[in-house]
Amino acid sequence: MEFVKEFRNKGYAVVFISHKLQEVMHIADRIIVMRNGQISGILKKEDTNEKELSRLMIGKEIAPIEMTARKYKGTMLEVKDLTVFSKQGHKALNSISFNIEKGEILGIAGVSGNGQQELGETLSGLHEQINGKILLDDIQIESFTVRECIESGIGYVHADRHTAGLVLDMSLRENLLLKNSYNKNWSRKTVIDNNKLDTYSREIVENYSVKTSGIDSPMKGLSGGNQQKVVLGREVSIGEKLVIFDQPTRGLDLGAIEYVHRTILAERDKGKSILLISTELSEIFALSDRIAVLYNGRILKIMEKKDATTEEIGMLMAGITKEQTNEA
Amino acid sequence: MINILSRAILMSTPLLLGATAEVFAEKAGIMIIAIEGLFLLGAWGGFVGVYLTNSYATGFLLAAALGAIAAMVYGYITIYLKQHQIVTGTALNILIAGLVAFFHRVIFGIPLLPLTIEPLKAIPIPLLHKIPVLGKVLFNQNPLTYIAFLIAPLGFFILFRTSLGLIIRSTGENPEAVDVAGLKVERIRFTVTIVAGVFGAIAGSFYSVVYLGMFTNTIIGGRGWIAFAICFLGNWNPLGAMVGALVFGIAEAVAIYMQSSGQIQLPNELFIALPYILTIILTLTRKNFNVPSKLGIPYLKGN
Amino acid sequence: MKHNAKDLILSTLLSVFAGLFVSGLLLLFLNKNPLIAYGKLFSFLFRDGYTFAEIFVKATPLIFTALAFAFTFKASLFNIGAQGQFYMGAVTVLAVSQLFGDRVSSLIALPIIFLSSFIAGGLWGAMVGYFKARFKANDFLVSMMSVYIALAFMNYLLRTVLIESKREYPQSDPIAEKLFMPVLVNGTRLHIGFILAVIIAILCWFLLYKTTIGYRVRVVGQNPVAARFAGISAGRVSILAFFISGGLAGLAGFTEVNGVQHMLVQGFNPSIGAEGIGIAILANANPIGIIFGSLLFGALKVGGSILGQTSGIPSSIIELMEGFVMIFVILSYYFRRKIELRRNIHSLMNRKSL
Repeated sequence: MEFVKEFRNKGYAVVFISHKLQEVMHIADRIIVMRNGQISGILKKEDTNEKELSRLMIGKEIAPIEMTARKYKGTMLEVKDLTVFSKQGHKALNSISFNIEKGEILGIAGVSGNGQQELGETLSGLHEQINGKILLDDIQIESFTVRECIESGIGYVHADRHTAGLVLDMSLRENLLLKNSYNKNWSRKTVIDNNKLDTYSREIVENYSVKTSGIDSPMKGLSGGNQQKVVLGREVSIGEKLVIFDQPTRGLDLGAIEYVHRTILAERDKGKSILLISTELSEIFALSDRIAVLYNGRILKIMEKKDATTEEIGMLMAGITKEQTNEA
Repeated sequence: MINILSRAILMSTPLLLGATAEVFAEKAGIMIIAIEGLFLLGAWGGFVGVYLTNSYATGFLLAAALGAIAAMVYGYITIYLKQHQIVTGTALNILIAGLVAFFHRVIFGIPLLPLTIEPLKAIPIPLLHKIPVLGKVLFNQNPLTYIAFLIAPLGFFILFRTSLGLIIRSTGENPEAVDVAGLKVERIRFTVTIVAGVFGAIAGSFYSVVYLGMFTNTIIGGRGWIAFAICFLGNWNPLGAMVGALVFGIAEAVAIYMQSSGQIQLPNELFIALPYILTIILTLTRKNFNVPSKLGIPYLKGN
Repeated sequence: MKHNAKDLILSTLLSVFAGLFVSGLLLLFLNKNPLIAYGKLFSFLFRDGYTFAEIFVKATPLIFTALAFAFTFKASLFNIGAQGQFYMGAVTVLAVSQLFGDRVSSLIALPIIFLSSFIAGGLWGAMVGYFKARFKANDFLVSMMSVYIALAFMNYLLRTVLIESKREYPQSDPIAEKLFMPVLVNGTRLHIGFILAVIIAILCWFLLYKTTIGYRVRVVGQNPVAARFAGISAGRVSILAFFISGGLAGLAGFTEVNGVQHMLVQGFNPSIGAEGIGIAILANANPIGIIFGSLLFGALKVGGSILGQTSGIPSSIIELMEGFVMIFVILSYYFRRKIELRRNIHSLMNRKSL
């Protein structure tokens, strides 16, 4: 940031492209807002604010999302002393413990690369080098394979939808089959039940208002936001008990972000447990019931949202705990 | 024993040349799947050149020229048009087989007796060839063998000790960086492919010009693939390729010895299959390959 | 989508034409008029029922080897060892046929022989898949090498245990007449193997596009990372794909031995593996397209070899035509992609202006 400013001060011209409004407001002199490949506004920074920018970006103002009170009781996910070893043999997660209640969103804050990806992957059965216990609805699942995790009702929206979540050269409907290909409900003696898959695909397109020319159109033709809606639709229907969202809004425009957020809250209100991993603190604060901070493979603190401050979490994300600050 | 070793060195010559050519191309990110065809083309070009002009130089030059042309076609389709390397290479192998057989017929008609040329003779290196054992094994070989065993270390030096080599290796590992540095990824790959084509064809000419003194359509019989395999097994290193080529040379020499001596009662076919079995076994046992990370992947700008 | 299908068919036809055109030009080196030569080739094909039926006879094994390549290709695997799997199938059906002799009813024997060829080719192919899954071996390389091993193995058996009773040539005795595949049209060599090949091609299409097994094969081929996250084991898929692929190539052994040759000779049909790859490329690895591609190559083979016998044109013209057609088909991939891109841009622009 400062580098860019310095660069400008030396008399160079800078084109700064970002969808982060704070960044833009911080750095720009003049702002051009683009939507759908067209310019929707040219403004001077002094004459505008973030609200106006976001309105120009999505065409309407986003209403702040209100969270309802939790309605469900009981624990869905219990993680006890979980240690995960990476391929290189070091501990990606270091004896972490937490639980998620039914109908609760646990936000995992942290700078990326501190074990978030391994956490999501481990809960989805992708890691074998692990110690500790994982209980889903009182069933031990730490030794489950990916398939067994899918079958036991864990949905996983991966941070990288292009490589991990979708087959871009396949059609929308074929992408909806991706994690269900072993599920007997979708096939009869290995022959795919196309009627069922078609109905389901149309449902997803309709319920998630996916903009597409049809369920047979190739996935790569959809915009990022619409691709993410397809992933969301699939993982939410797989995740009957637990849905893991890892960076669910990365690279999306504001309209799509709002949609994703509403979906996450709606799933919570159905009684599912939600693990929300995000590096965007605003997202964590907007959606979580409780917030945990992951740093260097450890959970430094878990707190109720009402007790959490951006400042403390920011410090924890940098690895600085209260005790340390007090000592200093 | 000396005979077997001497023959092993001889038989490893084309494999070493071909594998070194393949190493260079693959380090730049291009798998030369057409290598079997290049070998065949070289064997034919070498034979035709020598037969028609009675000069070994023309033979090797013709082989090299044909190899360069074939490599240009292969390179153009795979590098500039970005088509699949395995698919293109396979097509080219079939086409080359057809072209060679066709033009052999065009030039020579249907001869009553098989056409032959005088195989290139060994040239003993003064003084050195008199060293007991070693002299006979190493220093009483034909010129192509000397060249091959000089090119491999030279290739290693170029590839790993010069800036040219660094550029080639970067083209296979991180083409974006090469592009950002202002060099043309595609031109580098194309050039390396052509050079590899030249050496691949010269390697093939060994079989007709040096070894057999004649040409048949089945003269190569999969040895191009073995050179391809040696590039893998030698871990994309010309010196590794040298070891690999020697192992196969020994296997081939032993097979020839066993076949001709008839002392050991093992089926002939086992010896014929030996190099191929060996390749598979070595592929399975070798771990930690240094596969160039962009091997076989066309370079697309802005990706 | 419709546009693309039309492009595909049109550009493939153009490539075939271009390939034949260039091969024709080369005939000028032999002082032959290409037009007359092609005219002859074409009229030969319809000379009589026998010759015409030969096209289908020649196409039959090609359908199998092309399917073999296409099936693994869909999983981004490379089985270029169909030739070897074909040899394994051939030598196995010969052995099983000799074992049966004329003691067993063909209604029982033929299905068993059919299965044995699939299993023999399949196991030989699955070996490649297993090495890939277990040792991360390069499938391309291993399948290539396995051809030469299979060839040596077949030649060995034909020189020793399977050698004819006269023990003169390295070839087998003919199999019992009972075990010949039924001929479809009297007076020709056209046998039910062709029908079998067409059925199997359709089954392959069904397997790839309508079943979960084929679906998983394609997922692994197109995005192995996504496959892992979906709990699909790439290793298991590669073994399975190679088993099916090898089995398909093995079936060519069944139709060639029991349908055409009725015996086994050392190193026979040495080019159907490579031709199968060419056909699979020509057909864009589509099983139904493969049927037509095989018929084209079959026609080139039949016409080309008659041309060789009658007009002094070497039979290498066959490989020449095949090779050039393949190269032009690959070029057409490039141009089709360009046209498709341009059309997409156009349609986007039009949508905007509305």
